[in-house]
Amino acid sequence: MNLSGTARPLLLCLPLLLTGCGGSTNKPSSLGAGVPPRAMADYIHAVLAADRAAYSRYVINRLAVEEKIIKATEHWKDERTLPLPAQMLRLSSEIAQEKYDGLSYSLLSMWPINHKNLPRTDAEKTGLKHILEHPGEAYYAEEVLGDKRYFTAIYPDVAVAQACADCHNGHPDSPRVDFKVGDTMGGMVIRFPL
Amino acid sequence: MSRPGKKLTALGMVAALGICSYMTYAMVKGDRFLLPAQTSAGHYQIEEKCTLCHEKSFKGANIAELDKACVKCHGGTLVDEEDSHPSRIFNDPRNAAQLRMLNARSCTACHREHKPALTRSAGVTVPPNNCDACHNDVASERPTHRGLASNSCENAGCHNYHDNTALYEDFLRKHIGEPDTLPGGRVPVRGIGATPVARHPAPGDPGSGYGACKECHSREVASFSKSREGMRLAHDLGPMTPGQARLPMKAAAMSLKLNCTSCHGAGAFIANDAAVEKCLSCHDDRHSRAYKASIHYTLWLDEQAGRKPAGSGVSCATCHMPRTQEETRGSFRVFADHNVNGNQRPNEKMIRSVCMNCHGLKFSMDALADNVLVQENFRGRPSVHVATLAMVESRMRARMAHLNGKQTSDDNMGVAK
Repeated sequence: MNLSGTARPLLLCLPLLLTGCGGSTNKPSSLGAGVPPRAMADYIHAVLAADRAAYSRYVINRLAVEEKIIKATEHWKDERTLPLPAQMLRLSSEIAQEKYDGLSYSLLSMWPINHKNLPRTDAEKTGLKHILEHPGEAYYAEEVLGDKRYFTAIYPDVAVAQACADCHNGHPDSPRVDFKVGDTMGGMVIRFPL
Repeated sequence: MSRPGKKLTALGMVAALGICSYMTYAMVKGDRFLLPAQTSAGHYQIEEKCTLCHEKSFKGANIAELDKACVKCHGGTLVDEEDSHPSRIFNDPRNAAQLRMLNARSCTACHREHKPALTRSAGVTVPPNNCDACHNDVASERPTHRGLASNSCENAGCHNYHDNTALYEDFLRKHIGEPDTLPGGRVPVRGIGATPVARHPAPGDPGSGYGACKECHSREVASFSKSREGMRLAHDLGPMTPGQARLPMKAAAMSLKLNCTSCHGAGAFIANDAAVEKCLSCHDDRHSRAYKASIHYTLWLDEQAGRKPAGSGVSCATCHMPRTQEETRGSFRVFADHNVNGNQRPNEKMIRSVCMNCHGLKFSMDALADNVLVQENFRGRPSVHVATLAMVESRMRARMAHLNGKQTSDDNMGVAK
């Protein structure tokens, strides 16, 4: 076949055009494909930590501490007060779990107010020990719970304000009464299915 | 196949078709013919309408469908009473091991219908020591609980699985030391709408009947629909009658059809008459018969005669149709909750909605825990003493000793101590 000078390059490019060279394909791209679980957990933790900080700073600290309009108490619904930051995290976790079964995040500790928040799985026990012994570090693991595989990440949860320490130290159910600002009080445990 | 054989086959097919058709009709329209066993006290009124719970299938493993049906009727109540064990708290994968022992994410794990041999109060079909599945270490955390039997968690005044609004520790602590009867105790006075009586339709008028009352009394009708008196009407099963009840009822009332006018009369709609006399015109049990000899009835008579202020009397409705405050557009309205059974099982549900309007917490707990006193409609004083408040006081003393008088900082995010 004798092709013109223009036709030949076009024909040569045709396979490339058909296969989507240049980034345009017939199938939608897999957003997030290839994100390692560790990075995914870090991103989730960053969002959770930011939300909790925003709630503590702009809602609790402003309304309860500075302007003293309303308090933050444990039985907030009954007492018509604000949920505590740790409760806000739990409430949001329950909402997230309803949407994505298996995604969970919670606060665990060696000295929890509610003993149900003691570490229970091997990864939780090892992870909490790790973050206490290695300040500033996170802990990552894979585990099988109820026949499903999960990626579990544990991040140190530090007392960033005097209020954190005071609330725990003053609670009748707290097994520890000597927390100080800067202490690692426990860990935020983030878990999602693999 | 021979001719007689073909005839038999055809007959068999017609019979099978007829049976299937009838079973389908029975499921949808209601017929007790298909019931496998006696239903619970809370459901027998609607037992013939299988599709209320079994919307699509009868497969035993279809737990999701059954749970959906439970939540359809009971979900709102669980939210209102701030359910201590909503299914969502068990979604965390770390609960996998406990969930294998008891699938607490499903209502049917503890409430299985058609199991009369297992069924206890409130339709519970698991034994009282069931809390052990997750709480078998409570004694290690609570010295006050050491030595308590594992089946004692649900004892009167201790813990409820769902409604602990009167039993959580901070609430108990706030009400230590209250007198048996609070000075000036009153129940909230109902906020009745301004609709003139003349606008009420008479029975038989177009637009009269159960549905007509909803227009102005939506909350009362909605709560009545959840009650044992009203749930049949709510599910298009025809009105409940005392003759169908499992409680003792007066012979003269057996065929009375229960709806709004059966208690509130026709035309006059006198609420106070409905508060006592209408109840006693049907109910014939020991508790009901003892009412008119009780101090509560004396107070009711005094209030009706104007000798005592509004809200000081105690009628049947005062306890069994508690006054509920609801905020609407910045103002509060008080209405009578017409779900007559809503606060009975467990009876600690009455503590905040009813008893504590006039009585201290300890007295209320003791009275409700005394089954004989309850049967005698509270004639006399409680002979039962619930240890709950004493346990709380003991923990407070131990805590103070542990802290060695240490005070927490006032600058603590406003967090209440």
